[in-house]
Amino acid sequence: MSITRRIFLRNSALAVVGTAAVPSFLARAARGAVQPGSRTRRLVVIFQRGAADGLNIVVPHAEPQYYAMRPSINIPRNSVIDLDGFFGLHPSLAPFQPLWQQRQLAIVHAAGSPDPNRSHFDAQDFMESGTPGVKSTDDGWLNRALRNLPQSQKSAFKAVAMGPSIPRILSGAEPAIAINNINDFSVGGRNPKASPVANTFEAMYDHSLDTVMHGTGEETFDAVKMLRSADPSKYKPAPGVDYPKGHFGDNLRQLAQLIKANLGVQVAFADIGGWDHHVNEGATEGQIANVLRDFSQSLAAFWTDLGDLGEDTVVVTMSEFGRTARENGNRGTDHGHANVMFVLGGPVKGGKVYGRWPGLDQAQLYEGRDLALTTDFRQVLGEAVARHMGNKNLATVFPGYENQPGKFLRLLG
Amino acid sequence: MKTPLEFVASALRATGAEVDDALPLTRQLNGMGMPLYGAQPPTGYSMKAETWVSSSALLNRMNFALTLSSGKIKGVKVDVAQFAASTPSNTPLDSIRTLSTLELGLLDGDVSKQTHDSIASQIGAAAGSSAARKPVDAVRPPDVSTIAGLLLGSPEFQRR
Repeated sequence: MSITRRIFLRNSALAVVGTAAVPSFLARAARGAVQPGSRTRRLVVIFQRGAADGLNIVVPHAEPQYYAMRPSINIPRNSVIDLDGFFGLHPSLAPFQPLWQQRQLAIVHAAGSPDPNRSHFDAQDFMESGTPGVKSTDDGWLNRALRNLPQSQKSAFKAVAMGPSIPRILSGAEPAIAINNINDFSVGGRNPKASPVANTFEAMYDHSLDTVMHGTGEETFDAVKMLRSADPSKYKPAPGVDYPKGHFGDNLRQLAQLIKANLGVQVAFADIGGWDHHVNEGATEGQIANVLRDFSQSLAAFWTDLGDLGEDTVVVTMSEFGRTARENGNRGTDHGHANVMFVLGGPVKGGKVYGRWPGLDQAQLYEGRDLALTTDFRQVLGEAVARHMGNKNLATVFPGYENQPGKFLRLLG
Repeated sequence: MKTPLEFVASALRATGAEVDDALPLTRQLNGMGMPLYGAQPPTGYSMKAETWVSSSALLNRMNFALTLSSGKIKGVKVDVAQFAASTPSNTPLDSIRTLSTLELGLLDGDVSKQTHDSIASQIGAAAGSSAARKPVDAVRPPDVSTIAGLLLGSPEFQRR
């Protein structure tokens, strides 16, 4: 393999940092204190994999058509948590209510990818690559968003994916790290006998004449040491914060630990599955109610846990497509089109449902069956990337999409 | 650079592992970001090295190497002891001999001086510590499975 530009750049950056005995970011992390005047802006992206049913999540309870099309799986008007007289939250989203009232939570309805594809894999792929309809894009938009980021952190934890491997959205030229479990992010685990082995591996890679292996090894052991010295495990959830048990809650709890340990996290990704409710979707109770409870409790816990750090954090949620406006013959819903996105954070002008509501009359439905799309997901993400993260180069982040700042929903203050 | 599948398959072949149950191995591949037959269509898995070079991937590989060589992967029988020096006593000299046998057995002797010296110095450090006659603190020389794990996790073994 030839030395790619990416690896060369990465190594030279590390070489500069490495001239001091302890890299400055390590020392800073070890002190664990935010340097005065250096606020790190963060973007956290949440993917609801499996196509969440947006119409049962943020319910258009003033639409008679909604109730007509969903006789057995609708959320009754007297059960929704009303937001503005037209829309209401599914009752399992009760943890979102205070965030809405404090205007930290905004909603964009009828949003998503304009691509007509109804395959989970393709649609997720398009939302992660940021190029709907183009299969050949080989990196993810969140990775491209890191390119030329102002006030970029020189940290191995600048871009973190919670999970076993780097997802599509974060893959690409900018270094990113996948963390499944912060306690296992080491060689040989926590076993004290493992440390000579870890040292030997480190020496092997450090002395390796293979530049790629040398560089990756250095990056790896720097990250392991940085994590060890910052010791995120000492950052327990804030008082009163209770993450639900399970994969999503665990991941957000650990992500909050990494952020609170001042590891320089600028973008992060986590996902939550279990939304593909073709059969017995449920309504106020049942499958959708359960996954929404996990979703909202985890996110609300994460938000409370971040405390002041939430001021510089924006969380955006998305799902590959919505579901059919009508329920099917199995008391479920099938693959649809537009969906709902949540945007949560300090800079968010919340307490408002953004986007134009297309309506649910037969003539208003997309292909006669689905909620029509009025906001492209790239418009929402583009605003977060440009106005929150300060990366104005949206033509690189979302190639092929004309993302005019004048057309932003202006949901960030 | 080996893909995760190539890395796992070559580690199994090099150690002469007997696979009774492949499911734990497929889980390892999921963890390395290359689920078996799980590539996103239409392009298949990347054959470019940079796709597979990352900190988390490297940690996974080192940990897989150690777990495999110590026989802790369910459904997979590994006998690295076959590569051990014949004498049963676990002296540093034996360990160095074991290292050489393993270098031949696992990597056909194609091991850099740097890798060899790194492992040898861990063995040497253990020897020094035993010589200090503090049996309580003495660091035991790495056993055959640890040495095998170190070689499978070495830079050389990540290359095709």
